[in-house]
Amino acid sequence: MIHRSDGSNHADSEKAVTRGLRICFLAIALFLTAHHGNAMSQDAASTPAPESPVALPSLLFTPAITGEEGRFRATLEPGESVTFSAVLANNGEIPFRFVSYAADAFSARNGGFALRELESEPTGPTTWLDYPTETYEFDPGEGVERAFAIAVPEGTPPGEYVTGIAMQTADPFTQDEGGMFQFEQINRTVLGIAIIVPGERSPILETGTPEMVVEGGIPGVLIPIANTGNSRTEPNGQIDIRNSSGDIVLTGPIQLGPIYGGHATEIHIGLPAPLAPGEYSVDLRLSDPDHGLTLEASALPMTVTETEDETIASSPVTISSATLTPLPDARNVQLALIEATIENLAEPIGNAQLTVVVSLDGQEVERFALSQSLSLPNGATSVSGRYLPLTGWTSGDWRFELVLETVGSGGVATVVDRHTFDEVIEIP
Amino acid sequence: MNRYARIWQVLAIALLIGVSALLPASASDETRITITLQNVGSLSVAWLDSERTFLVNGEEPGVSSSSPARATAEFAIEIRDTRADGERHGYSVAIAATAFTAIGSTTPLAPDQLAVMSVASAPATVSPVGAGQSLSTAVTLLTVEDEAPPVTTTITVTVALTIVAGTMPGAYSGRVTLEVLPLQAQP
Repeated sequence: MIHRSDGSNHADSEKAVTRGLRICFLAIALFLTAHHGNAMSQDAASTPAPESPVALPSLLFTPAITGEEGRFRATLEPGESVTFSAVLANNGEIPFRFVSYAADAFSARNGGFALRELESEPTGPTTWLDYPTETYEFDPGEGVERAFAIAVPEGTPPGEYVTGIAMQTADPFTQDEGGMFQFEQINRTVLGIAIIVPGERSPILETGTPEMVVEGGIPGVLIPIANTGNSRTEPNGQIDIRNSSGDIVLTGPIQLGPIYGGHATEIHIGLPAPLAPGEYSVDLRLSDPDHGLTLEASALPMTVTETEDETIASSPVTISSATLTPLPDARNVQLALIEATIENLAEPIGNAQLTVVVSLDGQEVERFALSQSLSLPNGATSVSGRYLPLTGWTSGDWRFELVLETVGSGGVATVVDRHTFDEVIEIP
Repeated sequence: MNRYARIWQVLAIALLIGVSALLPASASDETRITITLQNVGSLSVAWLDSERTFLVNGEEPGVSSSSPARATAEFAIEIRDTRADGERHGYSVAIAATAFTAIGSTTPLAPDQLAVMSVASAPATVSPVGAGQSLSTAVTLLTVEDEAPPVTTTITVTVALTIVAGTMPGAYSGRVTLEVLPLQAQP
């Protein structure tokens, strides 16, 4: 069953014929919605997938009008208003109670649209919505078309404002599995709302002081970032972190989701192991060509102190041994054979790389990839390779260092260990 | 194809939709009808009934006042996508958590003590992105782009919980929200 409730600012005076037409179009909208798959739903009639052991709620939550692509968007001058409609329905196989509410949007960590929780206090553009929290109890196939108004207050400055509405299970799904920790499980689907108040719009990015954090037993680098402008930005760029000697200990690309105007969030980069205590500097370069935005933050200071979290292995991946052998011999060098054993005391690592940093008379001359896309299972892994200088063995003292990096899913490479060879190849 | 052309195209199909009841508006102006969705395909993302017990090396956590522990649990999430080619819009799946509390305990376990350790069994066509992120904020587990092949699978999410030294024994409960956010919902 579908029932429709209108927003208080838009009392319905339609006659029965009009209502019937609306219902017909609602049926079409529901059809299209499921066809577009813009909300959680279950297809009881045609799904060949195996059934779940227990019946679970399935939410259908979408704009009532097709073509909205799963979100609402309006351009309004201060003092103007608009009315939208959303469809909420039980698209599952058993009766369930659902609650629908408006909540503040925020920019998620590393960017992205996110919505506050049910109990949160609405602020800003969320207060422009006439969408009080309501609870519904639907049998399978039942739903409601709910109209709601958005009114932009007089005096609102130009900008892009975001907020949202959500539909979620009213009663947590809980199982008594025993054990010390129990979960209440909630399903939620979100629709975003963007309101454009015409005028000049541009994003402005500012960064804060980086810090190393340990969350959930996982070390990481956190950099506060704020968009103090009045429209979104979706920047990409590069981060480099150097230790006090100037050596890069972390490098890689940064790709952020949307950071909306007036929002503050964080850039978070997970690390396979904590950085050693000491002083570091962070170079961060971000750009968003679509909005003509460039941010270059150089030498941001970062101080790392000793972590007290005993659940973290300080260095689970190490170069446990390494040898450097001139071939065929030290008096007649043609090649340098480099052999290393890497010990991984933690979970398997899917992507690591071992690089040889080569110096001649104290000056770095080459970085040679001894092994790329290296898989490190738990335990020992042997790696070997032969090195021949691009320029040949020219006169001087040749020194070598191994650098072991892990590469995260985002392409960020983190130096987890180094090994400096005592051996020097002296070429007269 | 503009919106109106699409609506007219679908109007014929809509005749297949059963409108089995049409009741007069109530005092609160509510109109009820029955909708039957037929062979249109859909996307379903839901918790799967499975064991979710936090264990340390296969055992119940033995919390002491002097040593911390790290427990892990596995969550199964079922994704079923039967939408037609050309109609599969992208979406992301995320989880969020509240603090765990126990009656009588003065040491609640904050969300930042929870972390997603791995997302297993995700097809190669999706991008698992949540591994290594704490649940101090919602963590996106995977993203499926527009027009990607349909995903019908069960993924396993391993969540780690750091139990700090001094945590009082007890029965702790918290809330975990599974969230589906269509990519188009990013306004």
